[in-house]
Parts: sequence; structure tokens; C-alpha cells
Amino acid sequence: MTSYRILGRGGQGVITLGKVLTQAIIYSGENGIMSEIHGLSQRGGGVVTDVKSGEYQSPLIMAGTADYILSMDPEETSFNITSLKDNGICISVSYNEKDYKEEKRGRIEFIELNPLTIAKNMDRRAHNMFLLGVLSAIDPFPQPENIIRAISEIFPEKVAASNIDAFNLGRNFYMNLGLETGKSSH
Amino acid sequence: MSFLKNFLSDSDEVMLLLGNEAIARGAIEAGVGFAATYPGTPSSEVGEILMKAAPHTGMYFQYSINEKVAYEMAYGASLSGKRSFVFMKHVGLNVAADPFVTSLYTGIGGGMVVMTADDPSMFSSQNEQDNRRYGDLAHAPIIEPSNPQEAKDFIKMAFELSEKYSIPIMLRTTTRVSHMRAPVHLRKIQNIVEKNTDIKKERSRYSSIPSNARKLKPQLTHKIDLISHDPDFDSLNRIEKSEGSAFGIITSGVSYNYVKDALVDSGVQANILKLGMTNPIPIEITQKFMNENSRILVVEELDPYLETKIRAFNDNLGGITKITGKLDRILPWSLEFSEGIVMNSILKMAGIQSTVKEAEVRGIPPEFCPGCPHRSSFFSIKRALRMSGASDTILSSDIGCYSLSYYDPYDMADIILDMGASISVGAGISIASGKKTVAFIGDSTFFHSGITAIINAKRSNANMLIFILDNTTTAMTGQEPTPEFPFSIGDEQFNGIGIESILSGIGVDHSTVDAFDEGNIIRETIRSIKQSGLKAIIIRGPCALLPHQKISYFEVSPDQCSGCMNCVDNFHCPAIIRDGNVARIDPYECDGCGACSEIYVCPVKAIHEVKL
Repeated sequence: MTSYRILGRGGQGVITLGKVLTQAIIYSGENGIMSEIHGLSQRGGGVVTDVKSGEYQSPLIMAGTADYILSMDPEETSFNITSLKDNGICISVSYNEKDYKEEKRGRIEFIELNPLTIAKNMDRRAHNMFLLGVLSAIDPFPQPENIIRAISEIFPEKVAASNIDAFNLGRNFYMNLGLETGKSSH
Repeated sequence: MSFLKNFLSDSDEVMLLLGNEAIARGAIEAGVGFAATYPGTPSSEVGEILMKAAPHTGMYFQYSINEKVAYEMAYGASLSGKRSFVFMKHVGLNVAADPFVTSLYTGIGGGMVVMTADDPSMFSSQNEQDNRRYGDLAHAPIIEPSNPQEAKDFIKMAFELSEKYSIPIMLRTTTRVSHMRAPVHLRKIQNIVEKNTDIKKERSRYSSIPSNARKLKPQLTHKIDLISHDPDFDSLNRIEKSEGSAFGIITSGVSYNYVKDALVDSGVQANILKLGMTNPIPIEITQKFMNENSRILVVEELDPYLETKIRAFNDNLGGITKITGKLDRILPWSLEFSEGIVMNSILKMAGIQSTVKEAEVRGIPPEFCPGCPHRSSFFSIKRALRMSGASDTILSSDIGCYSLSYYDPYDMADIILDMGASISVGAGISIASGKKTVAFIGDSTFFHSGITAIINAKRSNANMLIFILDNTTTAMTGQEPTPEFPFSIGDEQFNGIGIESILSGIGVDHSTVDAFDEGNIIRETIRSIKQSGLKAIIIRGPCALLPHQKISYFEVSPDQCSGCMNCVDNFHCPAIIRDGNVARIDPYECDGCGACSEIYVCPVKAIHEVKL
């Protein structure tokens, strides 16, 4: 049973990230459910999508219980940080940091990455898959081959390859940092 | 394989579907031959997928001009023997309430289901009315799914129920059911259902004149009595027993999900009565549950709808159990539930001190997209009103993306009530106060219910300037086509209906300006605000979310920029950001509309186009 809160603004691919993650969870043999937000609230405003694996009925995460935050917007990250459980992990895009910073902040683990400096040529629309790659380097579940299968299934054929590249880029970047991995409950 | 191909698969597959997609699939599996809607969050995705899927299934699908028309079209299709499906957001049923209520009296031909999607917490709505009240008011059976799988399966049962009793059925969802994505088992697709009905022979039924209606009403209440005891629909409802449970919980819809998760996470044991049919209350199973539980908590979002019925039932039974819920303020009446809120009520029932806290989560408010035609429109109109000394004019606005003009820095919506109200409310104020008013209405809202309002304003000789903000689509709900949009299917050719031709027909003086041409909007506004009487200005420019090729972006020359920040503070485009003492444009975010390069936004002309 793992819960993920995915954050960003309308148009950043928050829902797509959630769909890929949920589909990959299902491919990995667990129940996967997610919540989406549509309509007016999407227009450039904050988009919050919750994903859960395991036998939950509701995809919405109770305050202080999320295992992970995956965020493409630093401002949304700050608004939602209370949704993480103790020792939960926040993986957030930050355009101020050079490449990468990781630290313990209070009761949570905070990982900031700047995809613009890590991979200058990566399409910004693929930042969501880059973040998913970092998650995949930290948590072996769902298995990377199932995430890649989900990307191939959900993205149109002509952009699937570049999104798989972004996923691998994020995954390899974090793994090559040589840091201890497998911090999650899995 | 493409999503649509999977979606239309006729084999026993499992697909990850949004609640609304599951409803569309359920309609297809049920052999629906006719579907109509007016788009509205949180119901819009049903139409999005049916529009694509309908041509492959033989179903007729249309975006109607408004919900009332959609309902009446679907009712007509039902009378002609087809299974018909009409769907809308919760407030859409306000618009369709008139035909809805009387259609329960007359009954129908082919099965008819109306889906209404409530929006607790008002993510994209002006209110959070509980539409189960409508089902009760109209004596319509209500079916409430809790998740995408049930949404798909229940709609098929709804059609069976509809045909068995010859009445329309309400399928009621909420945002968190419509917008929940989960694995759904697909079933075989049924052929389009055709029933032979000869409507001419049933005038006494389908013509609801008083002499007929007096006979039809008792028949309707009799049907509801029969349904409350009908074992054919038992599978909609179930009791989940728990060993050593101290109390019972009656729940339905999305609240069931919170109850289940909260019981697991809190470790409290309780029996559950899950109602998939919430009007009428199924008598046998409910009475059984009340007999078996001496204390019952009713968990439901919004109004104490079930609770009121259960309490009345309990009174009839002589008070066999004790009911708790919203009426004794254990649960709130407003805004959506969460697992935490439900867990608190469960812990209270179990006599356990709660430590669960629900943190208030803020979010970034929505704003106009880069390239949105509304930004330059409101920026220019605001400037023109100030230049005319008319900044204190009452600005009557409407429902759509342009409602965002309410926020800083535009502050240009003094009144927002309901679809089409900008014109009628503005006219009412103008006539009662003797002052000139300004109304803002979008193109889709104009067609939805602005036309009747503008005819009335003309007849009332209202002193009002109406801006019709035509972004050539129903933008907010997913860029659905409006009646302005020409199309052809086979030999059928529709040329679109121009807003100008409607205004000419009514005799309203009007002009048309380009949404990105600020100078022209300013001049036209200044000229028109001074005239008395009714005048309309159509501001036309395509929604930035419509598919288009980005051919350029704009950039600020830092050495030319004076640092006045008019573009950042007053034009307020998300692509333009403050960078120290100058403004900077994010070339990725910029859509290339160029409205910021005009002298009204950048008086020193420091913003230039860069071709891609």
C-alpha cells in the first residue's frame, strides 16, 4: 500500500504522470486507483492528483499519510508538504538549484532537481516522466519495465520514445549519484 | 493500440477508466441509441468520449444548445423507442428541471437515463446543490455508484429499471466518482435497443394536460412504491457485516469509499449498508439493517438527504434504532468529505478520542492561459472604462473561463449568478437603477441562454453594453463545439450560425473586434459606453487551447525595457515574469499571441516577435 501525491500546474502533465504510474502499478499486479481534477481548476492553477496502490477504495490521500510527493511546481510543493507522512519523500522540480539537492527537512526527506540544468535538451513536456524516473530509482515498485510499458501504452506512438528517454534519464541520473537507494517501505 | 480501439473492444478486458469514461462505456454496453448533453464539469468527459465513440457504435450523439433542449431531445428519442441517455452537471439539471419533472408523469418509450454530476466543494461550479433532492422532488429513482466499475454496471441496470417501470432514472455521481480512475471490467456490447412504440396511440399519457396529469400522478407514486420493494434490483444494495461491530453505517456514493478506508485505517468495526439506490429507499434491506443495529451513523456528502428518509422510516417503525448524522451535527453539511472527516465521525460513534486533523490545503488559483483572448479583452476594456470615467459601472458577468476576470488584476466581475444571467441581471439593474450597465457573456453561454435574455433586454430597452467574448468554442469544459461551428457528416452540411446574424435578427446594434487588437477594443468601448440604449460588441479570438501551430514567441529587449512592469502587474500573463528590474518572457510558456507587444501593454515597445 503506497500513496503518491502528484503536483503541478495545468498543462504540465500532472494527470498523465498519474495515469502512467497507476497503469504501471496495475501491470505490477497491484490494485491502482487515482483521482483527477478537470475544468476551471485546471486553467493554469494548481493541479493535485493522488495515486494509491493496494486495496484502497478512495484515491484521495488523508493529510500526513502520503508516502511520496512528485511535484513539478515548487509553489504547489510548499502548499502540500503537510500531506506527507513522517519520513515521506518529496521529489520536486526546482529551477533555482543547480542540478540537485537532497536534505532532511524536519520530518521529511526533500529531493530537489533542476531538469533544465541536468538535461538541457529535454523537452519540458517530458519533465513529468523525468520525475517518475527519479522515483523509480528510489523505489523498485512499480518495476521500471512496467512503467516503460505504461508509457508506451498511454502516450501517442510518436512521443512515447522521447518520454521513455526522459524516464531513463531521471532514473539513471539519480542512480548514478551513488547514493543509497531503496529507502521506501517496499 | 489506441485508447478508442481498446475502449470499444467487445471482449472481457480490464481497462483503466475514468468514472466518466466508464459511464460512456456503460451507455454503449447498454445499447444506447441516442445521447445528448451540454458540457459541464464534472460531467464533460462523458461527452468527450461519446463524441469520438458514437460513429463507431451507431449511436447518435449531440452537444445540444443547453441542458433543457438536450433533455427534451433525449425524451423525444425515448418516445420513438430508442434507449436514450442525457447527461449534465448538477446545475444543468436546474435548466432541464422543467421537462425532467413532468417526464416522470408521462413515462417514456425506450429506456431513459439522466446522469447528473454533483460538484461538492465547487471545484468548477457556482454552487454545490445536492441533486438527490431533484430525484426525490420528481419521484425519479436515483442510482448512485461509488466507483468507475459500479458507474458502468449501474447504468445498465438503470436502463432495465427504466424500461420495467417506464420512467426516466437519475444516475447521480459526484466529482470524486466522475473523476476517479480505476480498473474496470468491460462486458459485451449490446446492439442498439429499439422498442416499437406508437406514440400517437398514447396521447392520454404523453400529453400532460391537467385531466391526464391528475391520473398520471398517482400512477407515478404507485410505481415508486413498487420499486421500493422490487427484488430485481437488490444487487444495487448490500449489507457488509463485520464481526464484533458496535454500530451500523448507512452510506452511498463516494462516501462509501471514505467509510471503508476509514474503518480499515482506524481499526473500528462497523456493519455497513451500502445503498446503490437512494430513491426510493429499498425497504426490506433497510429495515433488516435497522433491526440488526441499535445505533446507526448515516454518512453522506452535502444534504442530510438519506438521513431524513431513514429517520422518518425509523419513526414509522416505532424508533427501533438510534440515527446519527448531519442533523445532530456529527458531520458537516457543506463541502466534500475526506477520509479524515468520516474517520472522526466513526471514532466518535466508537467512543474513541480522535487525533485526526484535516489540514486545509491551499492551491494556486487558476488564471487565463498564455495566448488567451480574454486577457487582452479585459485589459483593454478596463482601460477604456477608466479613460471614459466609467470605472464604477456595474459589471455583470457570466459562467465560463472569463469568470476568472473576477481576480486581480482585472477585478471585472461584480455579479456572477448562473448561465446567461449577465444579460438579464444587467438589464434588471439598468432599468431599476436608471444606470448604464455592462455585461460579459461567452459565445457558448450566449447560445445556451443568452439569446432569450437579449431579446428581453431589447424589448425592455435596457441601457446596457454587452460584450460577447467569442473564443469560438466551449472552452472551460474541454473545447466542445458551439452552434457557430460548421461541420459536415456525409451529405449533411451545417454552415454554423453566426452571432452577428442573431443580433441583426433581434435588431441589436453591434460591432465586431479582434480580441488581440487592444487599440480597437479600447476605441470601440469608449465610443459605445457613451451611447445610451442596448449595444453589443463581439470580441472574437480563438481559445489558446484549440489546436494550433505556434509560429513565434515574443521576447523583451532588456536594454529597452523601462521596468514599468505594466506587462507583469496589469496585463498579467503567466509567460511574463519579473527578472530583477526588467520583465522577461518565458519562450516556452509564450503562445505567440503578441497582445503584450502593443503600446497599451508596453509603452516603450520593448517586446518583439521571434519567429520559430
